[in-house]
Amino acid sequence: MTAARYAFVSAVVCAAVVLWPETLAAHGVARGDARFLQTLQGAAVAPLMYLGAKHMITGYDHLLFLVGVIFFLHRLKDVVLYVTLFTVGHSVTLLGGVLGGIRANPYLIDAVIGFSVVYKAFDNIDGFKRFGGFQPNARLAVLAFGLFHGFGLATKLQDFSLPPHGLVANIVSFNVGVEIGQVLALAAVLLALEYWRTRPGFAQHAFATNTALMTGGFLLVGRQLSGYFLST
Amino acid sequence: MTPTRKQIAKATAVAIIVATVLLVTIVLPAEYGADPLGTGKALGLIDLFSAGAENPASPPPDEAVQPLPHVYRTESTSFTLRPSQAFEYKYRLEKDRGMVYAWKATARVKYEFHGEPDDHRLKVQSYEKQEHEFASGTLTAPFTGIHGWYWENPGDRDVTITLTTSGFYTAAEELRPTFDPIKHKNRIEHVPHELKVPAGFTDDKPIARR
Repeated sequence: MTAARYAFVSAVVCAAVVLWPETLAAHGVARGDARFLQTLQGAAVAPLMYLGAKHMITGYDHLLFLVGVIFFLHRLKDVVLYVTLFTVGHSVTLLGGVLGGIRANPYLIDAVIGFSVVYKAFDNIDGFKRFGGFQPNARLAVLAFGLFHGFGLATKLQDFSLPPHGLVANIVSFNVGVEIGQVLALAAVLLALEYWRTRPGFAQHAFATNTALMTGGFLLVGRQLSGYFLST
Repeated sequence: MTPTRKQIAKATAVAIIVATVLLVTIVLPAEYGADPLGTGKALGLIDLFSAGAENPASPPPDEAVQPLPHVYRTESTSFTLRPSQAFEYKYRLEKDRGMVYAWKATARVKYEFHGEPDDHRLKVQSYEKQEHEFASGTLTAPFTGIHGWYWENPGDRDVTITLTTSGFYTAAEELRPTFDPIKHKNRIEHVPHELKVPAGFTDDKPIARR
């Protein structure tokens, strides 16, 4: 029963979106960590790396997108290629955003990140091929959405007035931490997917799972857009 | 196995509908206090929002007590609002200084408890926005600036609001929209309120600590 599978997976995905502690998740860094960042003087490589990794592992919006991206990638070579493109994208805007002092509205950025989940899930169920009659360039899309994810990270880091002394070292450390967190999270997801692909009925599960991913993405978009319009 | 157009359309529609239902019934009440279908109230989710809004900037427990060398003041005052009239009353508080407050109106009023930082990093931060006859609580100023209430009388009779506060504020002012006959438009008039220095304190002298 596809419907039952969809119901189960989307319950898990949406529960994550709704119930994940706000302090850990899409809206930034936990309070204790925030206090640490504000008292920071000079470069602090290890703590910033830790925070970057923590942000990546507990930030379900980035993870949902990456699950979508690697869902149908069978060869390790492709996984590395796509993840590298995503990394290049978000590193550019993370470094550029913080160093250039470019601020974007966090709600709108997070809405775009939510939309990236919808996009990838729709792509995974062949939505573009069947309805648009075309296949968008997957590499370009991953790079472009990577840029937005980096902007989201930059905006969150800028919520704390990081001291100018040691700023570059701190941002680079945060970025390196983000990559470490991403590798750790991806390894877990890949292992699970690899095992899953050997099971019967993967295609059926895949359709239901990507529909659930899309639901989670829509929920993220709705939540962030409501935040944009309802918060003063 | 390639999905058909029908399957894809159905899946997308289901995703949108499920996401919208969850958003409207659960996320909006819990996160933003908006409750269009009343589900937030029925499930008690709206409490999540009001708990966060009343005291958004309470410091972590290890910082709960801070000796502050400042004058502690108490004030009780009242205002009368004509039908559809609105006005604001604000206290000047430095960052991390606290204030305890309670107010009561003779009828329902629309109100917003909010703060405006001096450095204009953001225009206004809302602490609580509702329609009610009374409210009370504790505020620890999240930034240096003016913190207080906007009140509006939505009814067709005069409403009197009685406000009692105490805390480490240094000044109080009333913001009343008045009509300027010369410029022929409305402007906001800032009327400072004189605050009494409590007996035993002289202004700007630290409180003696035991």
